[in-house]
Amino acid sequence: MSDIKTIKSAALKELIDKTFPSNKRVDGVTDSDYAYLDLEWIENDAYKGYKNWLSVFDFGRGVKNSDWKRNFDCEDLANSFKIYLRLLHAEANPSTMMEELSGKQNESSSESVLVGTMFFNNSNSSAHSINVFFDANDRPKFFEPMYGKFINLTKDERESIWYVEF
Amino acid sequence: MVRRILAKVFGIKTLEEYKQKVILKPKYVKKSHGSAKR
Repeated sequence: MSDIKTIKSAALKELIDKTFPSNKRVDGVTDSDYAYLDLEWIENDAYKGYKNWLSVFDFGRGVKNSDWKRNFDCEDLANSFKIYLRLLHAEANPSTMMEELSGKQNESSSESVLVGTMFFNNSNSSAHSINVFFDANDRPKFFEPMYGKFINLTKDERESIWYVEF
Repeated sequence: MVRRILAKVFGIKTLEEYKQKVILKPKYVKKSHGSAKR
């Protein structure tokens, strides 16, 4: 039995409904269970790995030396960071269900890792997309994939969140 | 081997170096020791 903290899809749906009551994304939870990721590792290590992953694409620098570009913007950064973390999870846990049944254990048997993408309004006329995580106490933590830092959202920004997907 | 030496001499990144920097082992939260510091 793994000692990694996980959350089942039904519980995650409840948590999303409770935490983001303005969310309009229906069925934004698509895997059966999710493993919690260490948030310090996300900021200190995983983000560097993500930047190295992106570096194979030589499409130049975007705004303020970030990877943001008009044709690779906020939701692309958020989605690609989510996919990168899921690739690491799949790479680190390669055994199939049948192999696990025959004793070849993965460190985590969760279908996915607990990283989401979300949209909110950052002004009256513009929207933004970032990543969202939950800490071990199920508090939401907002991550700006453009700069690799956890950020705080204003009350208005939090109340404007209309799309959350894990 | 030759490729690795040439890569070192000319400062060229090898696929192995790229993979080392990109394919990281995820750090998960343990049930008993949650990462609740933030």
